[in-house]
Amino acid sequence: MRRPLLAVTVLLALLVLSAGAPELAYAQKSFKVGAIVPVSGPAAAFGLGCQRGLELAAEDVGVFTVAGEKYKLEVVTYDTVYAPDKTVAAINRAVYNDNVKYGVIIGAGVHPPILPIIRETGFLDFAFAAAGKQITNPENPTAFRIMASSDQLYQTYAVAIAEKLGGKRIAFLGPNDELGKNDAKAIKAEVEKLKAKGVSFVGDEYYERGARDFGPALLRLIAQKPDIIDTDGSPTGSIALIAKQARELGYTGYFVNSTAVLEAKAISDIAGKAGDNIIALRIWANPPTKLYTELAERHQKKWGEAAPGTLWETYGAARWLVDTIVKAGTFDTKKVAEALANSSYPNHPFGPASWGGEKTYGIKRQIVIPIPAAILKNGKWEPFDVKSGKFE
Amino acid sequence: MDLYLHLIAQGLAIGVLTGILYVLIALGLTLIYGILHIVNFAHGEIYMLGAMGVFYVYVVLKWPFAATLVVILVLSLLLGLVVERAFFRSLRGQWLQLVVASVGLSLIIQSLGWIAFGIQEKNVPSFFTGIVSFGGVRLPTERLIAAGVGAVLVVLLYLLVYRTKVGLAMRAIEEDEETARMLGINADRVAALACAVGFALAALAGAFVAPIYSLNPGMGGEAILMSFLIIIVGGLGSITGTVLAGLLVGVVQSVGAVLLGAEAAYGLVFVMMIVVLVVRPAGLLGRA
Repeated sequence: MRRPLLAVTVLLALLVLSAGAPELAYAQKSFKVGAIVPVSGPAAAFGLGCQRGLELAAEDVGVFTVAGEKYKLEVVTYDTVYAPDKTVAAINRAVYNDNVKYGVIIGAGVHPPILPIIRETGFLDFAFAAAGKQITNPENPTAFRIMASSDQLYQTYAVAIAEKLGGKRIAFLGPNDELGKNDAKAIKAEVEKLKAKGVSFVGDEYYERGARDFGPALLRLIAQKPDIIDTDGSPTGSIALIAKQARELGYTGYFVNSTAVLEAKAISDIAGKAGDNIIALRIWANPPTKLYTELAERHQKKWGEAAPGTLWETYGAARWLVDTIVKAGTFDTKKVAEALANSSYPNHPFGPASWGGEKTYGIKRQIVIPIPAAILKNGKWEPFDVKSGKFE
Repeated sequence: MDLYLHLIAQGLAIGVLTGILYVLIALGLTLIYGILHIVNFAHGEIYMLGAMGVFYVYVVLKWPFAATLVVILVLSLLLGLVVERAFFRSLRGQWLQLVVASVGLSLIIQSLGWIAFGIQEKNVPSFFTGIVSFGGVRLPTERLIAAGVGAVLVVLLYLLVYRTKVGLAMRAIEEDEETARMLGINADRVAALACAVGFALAALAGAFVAPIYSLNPGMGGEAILMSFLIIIVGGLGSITGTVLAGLLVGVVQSVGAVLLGAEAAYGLVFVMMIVVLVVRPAGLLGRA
């Protein structure tokens, strides 16, 4: 008697499940956003930050409606290992195999080979990349840079920082890739503006990404007696070692870090007091918004560590994108790109955001958000009160 | 001292100290290749695990440093034995399969590393802070100590390979495994020991380098390139060659950077490798 009862129960359960399953499956469609980022290799921290930013955004967006259909944001990750060839393979897989039309792509260096694919397919690229015109120009109307560009950072801050610190001799130490070369040019152009005031550019050196010994490069720069060494987008681990090794060689001046997002505790752990007087752009000494604080707390709770620097801008961009798609009522990337370019977004974790850069790049595809400056003192970021210039 | 001469002297000092660190990292790799003829791509990850071991045992659990070293030594020896038994033994003599197996192992360890250790850079506080100055040439104490440890490990490895019965057995296997077996040498056991010692050297290198650099699970990948370069230039399997090549690479890179810039110096190291291999295809002290 027991067996038939069990069989009936199982059958009933299966019937209930099979009846309910289609309803659940079709309750909402999936809106896929690619995280085309490094999640392994030396740059994995950047990529995981973006991936997590998208995941938090997906949680907060929930279900949304476009043209009468319900959708849910789904994050699809493609590991690029921060290498151009792997990024080409990743975007091809995303676009042609998985029909992903939107995504965050990390790295100025990986962008040149994928831009033709982006142009051809109309893929809407949220470029998490510094550098400048190589990505943002009228030929790439679906490429939106969601972090401050190098031009933006140097144009708004380089002169102001040099003047505030009274620095007369400025040197550059950056990675030997697209970003480093571009940014060295950008800072040279800005220093040129201060020539009349006795400020000069005294030398540039480049290192292989992932390097841990900067002594030889620093030696050459320090011999030029700089007051400020601009370290470009050197990530936390690199700038901490640069500062430590530079102080060991007797350097007492300032460091400026433009495009990276640095972690104060990690720098302080690695470099100790040698990390003092690193000035970083894009770092908030005090949280700018309530959302910023909430995200930091959620990240800590969910992943058990401090939020990586790439999280905020990715989160903001994803929320902004969904808002725009809902308003535009379409997933057509070209129409969405137009709508996005003409929109602004008040709820970015950094504060009100819009798109700019028309004068510099010939197209409004550069995010314009509040850019802070902070200086590291005793292992903590303190606000660095410097009046930024204008970026157009 | 003239500024230019001072720069070269400082560059030379940095180069020698960096070179010894390179040697420290490459030693285990050269031992495993020398005895087992295995190009162990997972060597960098064992180095990373050694460094992370110091972070978790010494910094997080606050064990004494000596106890930390013992833990790392024991675990890395065991890991070497396990990997040799599970992967390397059945593939011995099959070069391509071994390369694939060790690359796979490297990727597995690194990927697990990102999951287990997280993405934030980690740091081990310096055991020895301060600067030692010789005639204006500044040398960080922690690097001097690490270089000293490197030198001691080189000597110990040399004594193991050239002055002990086990070392004799290792060299016999390297020379001709079949004949060594016929002479009663338990080749499997000796190979397992060589693998374990190679792993331990990599992990100890990570442990001593940890306070000098910052740590992340990708650090092994960065170290392995230079290690391969050094053992190739030195002559595959030659301990003395590894030492010479490590110092040479460190000095060329450092003095080259002073004279030509860091970017050019990086290329210069590879030019040097090509020149060495053209003149001596088996490396500085390698056997053809």
